[in-house]
Amino acid sequence: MTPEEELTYYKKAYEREKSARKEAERILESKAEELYNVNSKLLSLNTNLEETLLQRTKQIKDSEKEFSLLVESSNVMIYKTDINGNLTFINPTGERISGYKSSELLGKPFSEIVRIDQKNEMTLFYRNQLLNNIESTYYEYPIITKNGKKIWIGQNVQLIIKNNSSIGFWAVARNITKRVKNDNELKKSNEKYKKLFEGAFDGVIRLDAKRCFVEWNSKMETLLGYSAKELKGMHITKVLHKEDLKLSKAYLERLKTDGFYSNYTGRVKSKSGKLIDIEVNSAATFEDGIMTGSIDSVRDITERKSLEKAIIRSEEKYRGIIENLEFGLLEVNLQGKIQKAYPSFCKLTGYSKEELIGTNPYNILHPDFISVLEEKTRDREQGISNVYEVKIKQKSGHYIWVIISGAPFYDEQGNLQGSIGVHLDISQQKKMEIDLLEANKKAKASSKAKELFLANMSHEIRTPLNAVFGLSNLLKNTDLNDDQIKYVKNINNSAQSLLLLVNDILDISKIESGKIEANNTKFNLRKTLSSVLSSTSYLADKKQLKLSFKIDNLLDNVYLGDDLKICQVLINLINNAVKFTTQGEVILKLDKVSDLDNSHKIKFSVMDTGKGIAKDALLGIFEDFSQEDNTISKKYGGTGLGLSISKKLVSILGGKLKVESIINKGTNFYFEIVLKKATETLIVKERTSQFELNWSQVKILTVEDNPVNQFVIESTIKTWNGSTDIACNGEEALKMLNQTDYHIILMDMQMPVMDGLTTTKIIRQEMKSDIPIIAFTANALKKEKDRCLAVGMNEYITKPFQEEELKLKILKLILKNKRGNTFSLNKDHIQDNPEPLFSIKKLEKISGGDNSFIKKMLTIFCNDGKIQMTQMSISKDSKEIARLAHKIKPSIDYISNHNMKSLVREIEQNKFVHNSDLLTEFLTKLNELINLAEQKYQKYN
Amino acid sequence: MKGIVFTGFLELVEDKFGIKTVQDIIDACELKTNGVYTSVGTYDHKEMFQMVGKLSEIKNIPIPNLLQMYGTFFFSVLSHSYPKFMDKNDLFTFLESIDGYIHAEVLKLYPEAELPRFTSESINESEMKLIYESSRKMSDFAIGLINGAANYYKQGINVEIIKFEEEGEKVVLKITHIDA
Repeated sequence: MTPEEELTYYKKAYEREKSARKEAERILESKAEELYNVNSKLLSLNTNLEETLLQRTKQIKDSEKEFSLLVESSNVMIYKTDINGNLTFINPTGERISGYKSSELLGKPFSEIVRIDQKNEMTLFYRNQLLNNIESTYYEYPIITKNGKKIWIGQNVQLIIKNNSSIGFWAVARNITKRVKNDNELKKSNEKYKKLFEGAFDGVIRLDAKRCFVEWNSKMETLLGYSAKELKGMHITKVLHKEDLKLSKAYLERLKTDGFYSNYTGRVKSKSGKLIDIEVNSAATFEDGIMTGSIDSVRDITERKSLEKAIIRSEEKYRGIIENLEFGLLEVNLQGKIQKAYPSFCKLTGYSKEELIGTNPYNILHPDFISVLEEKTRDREQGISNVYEVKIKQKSGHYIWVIISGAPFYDEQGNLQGSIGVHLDISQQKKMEIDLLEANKKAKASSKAKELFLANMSHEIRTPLNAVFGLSNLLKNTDLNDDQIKYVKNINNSAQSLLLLVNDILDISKIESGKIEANNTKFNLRKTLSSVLSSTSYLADKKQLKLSFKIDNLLDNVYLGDDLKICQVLINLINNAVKFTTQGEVILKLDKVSDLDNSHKIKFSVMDTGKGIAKDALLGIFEDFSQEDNTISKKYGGTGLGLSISKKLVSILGGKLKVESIINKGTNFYFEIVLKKATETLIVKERTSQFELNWSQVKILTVEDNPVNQFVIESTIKTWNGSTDIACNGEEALKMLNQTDYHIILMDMQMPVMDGLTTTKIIRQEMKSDIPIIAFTANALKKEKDRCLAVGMNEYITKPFQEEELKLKILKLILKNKRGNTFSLNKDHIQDNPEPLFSIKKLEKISGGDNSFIKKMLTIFCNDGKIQMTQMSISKDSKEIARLAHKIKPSIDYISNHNMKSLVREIEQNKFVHNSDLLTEFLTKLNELINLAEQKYQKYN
Repeated sequence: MKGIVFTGFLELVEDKFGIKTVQDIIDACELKTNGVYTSVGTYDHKEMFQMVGKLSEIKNIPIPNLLQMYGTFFFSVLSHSYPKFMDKNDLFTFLESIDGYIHAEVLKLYPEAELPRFTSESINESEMKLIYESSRKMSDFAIGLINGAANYYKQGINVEIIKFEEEGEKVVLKITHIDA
């Protein structure tokens, strides 16, 4: 590039630079101007600002002053704390209220003067405010002033916020002690009120001025049955009974004037329509002199009302009763003066109530009874009630008999108040009493006279009667013509009848005067009855009537009683039966009705097949002098006293005579009486020292195979009035033992099938029975005896046995078994007289006089004996001879003597082997015996 | 765009290519200002582009290169005029302060200034990200400036374009320390 070119460029560049400079200057100037403007503005702003600031500051200062004044002069406590609650400022009022000087509190936490128990809560409260940035709060708390006084403070607290953070609190506080106290009191009062209200036993309500329900307790709701919603604002008249509205209004007026009323009684209606009696006490509430309503207590008195009604009714009832009592009632006080006289008493005595009250009851008392009344008064003081009779004077002066039931009476505390007497006029009764006594006396006198008369008359009447009867009998046996015989028979009959009548009359009067008693003697029932039958059989036979006699087997023989009277009754009954029976029979029947303590109740019946007695006639049949109808005596004779006497006699015996009858069929007269059993076991016979057993009661089992022996034992026992069962062997015996309870067993030793020892063993060991067992032993060897005792037999008796011995042994064992103790018995000692070779005595004894038995025995002996004797004489075998001797032994035992008995035993025991004389002697004697027996046998034929 | 950019550019051109080139550029472009720029003024950035474009044409240097070159040069201009802004301990701290501090101060004085946005992200002690955002799309210029800054702080760095978005309106640069 050339310099000119370069220059051009530089010139252009320079131009550009100049322009650029100019532009730059321009920009600069404008910028400077801008700056200047801004500056000016700033300055004026600044000035403004300063002014504003001054103003504001002044305002603040003024405000602060005002504020200060306010704070200082406020009558509320104002204080300030920092963020931690430490006091930074407190106004004078605060000082006054708290009692502390500002200087004392500054820097300290305000809570320090707060009551201790509240401190924590308060601290928490304000901490909470701080945390949650609550600008303003209200809080109440107690403080303790410097003087120790407790004051309640209520304060508003504001957070002081600067720069968006809290730096402290402003508090404006007021002394609210009074208000708090009032509040508490109000609360307490309210609570009390509520409690009273709710807890009241009665219904309590509050009504407004319009008489509508404002408040009520639950009892009221229950009473009326309405719900709370329904009750609210309900008018009282809605529940009142419509008949009570007027009364209720009247009470309302009283409420307005007096401010209260009490004991209003009326009725209310519950929701269900039920009527309830109520009693109301009401107190009015006032405000400024105007009634604003009332508070009422409502009591349900339904129950009380019904009780009252009941009491009134009861009182009226009793008053009615007492007033109208026929008995005169009189009350006498402790001082002994009449304090009350009921109308009935006044009526009784004729005095008026006024004339009696205050007077002394002795005034109207008959003088004879003064001591009685004194005694009764003493009784009343002791609290004793009793009944007594006195005479009292009526106003008219007339005395009447009264019966008095007197009793003390007391007040509610139980103190004696006096006595009350119920008086009844018994004049009538007394008169009757006296009359009766008179009559009784007269009757007794008359009865006595009658008795004497009868006693005299009995003898006086009977003597000539007997004479007539006796003489007429004598006359009957003399030589008389037909007419005379007829007359005599008549006289005789008449005399007889008369005698009977007189006897009956005397009997009856004796019975009636109670002179007859039942006797108690031992008698044999069967014997008595036999005599009855014998005395009545003549008549029966004459009429060809069968007279039979049935007696219960279970009845004893001997009883204690009055057999004479029984006889009399039975004779009468049987005679009657015979009299009124034309054909058939009359049966006397005795049945055992029951077993009693030592006695039997026995029914005696007299049954006939006579014409019977009509039902209506039966009624009067036992009456004195009555006969079935008045034709009877004509047809049948009789006095009609017989049955009456029998009935009375039966009652004396302790029974009751009854009758049943069917017309044309027959009649049955019967009665039941109790007769004491004559003691069963020991009826001491004065003659011997022997004891008797009621053998019919003893159950004996005889175990014996030999028919002769069986027969003998059976008959022997029969003579004792006993009986025995027979078993042919032990096996049979066991069978029978299982079926019957025997008292004693008579056991033979040698028997087929099962012998005595085995049987006894079984009885003792297997049957475990301790029934007494007597063994019939063949011989008297000790070994045999020991064996018997060893197996458990109680006794043994040798064959042939002595009746007495057997009897005694059985007796002994039975007594021992029954009583558990032994009896010492007098044994009849066995006589040892020289006996004849042949004697029928034993046979006679055991047969009980039965000749056929004796004959049979003799036959057996004679026939068998001959055979055995022959065989014994020709036999060479000693064993056979012994056997034969054994066979004939029983018979010898029954008809021969002791000597012969021992002889036959010796032969049996082969003793003759070394002594042949023995056999010879025996056979000789045997021959003689047989001859004698034969002779005797001939005699029986 | 601030005048200083224009004056600086022309200075550089004059310096590097001579005064004639300057005139050529001015004559070639349609400049409202006719090439009169003062550093305190504010001119349309389009004029800048024109001139840069013309220079690239005339001298056959790609625009990005030019811009980078200019950027590096321009940093020293800035550092001379406004040393206060360079008062940082190290390059990375400085780069981080561009947007938040430097440009903010600039805007106080020249509220109308159009300045690019630089968002920095430190990866580690020796690496950082710098996100360039401007409607003028002069990221190359920015790279040059960064290099200039690196020279100023006497720290060797490597500038890498890791993201090029919106035709250059947003460019993410990674600057890595080179321990030389």
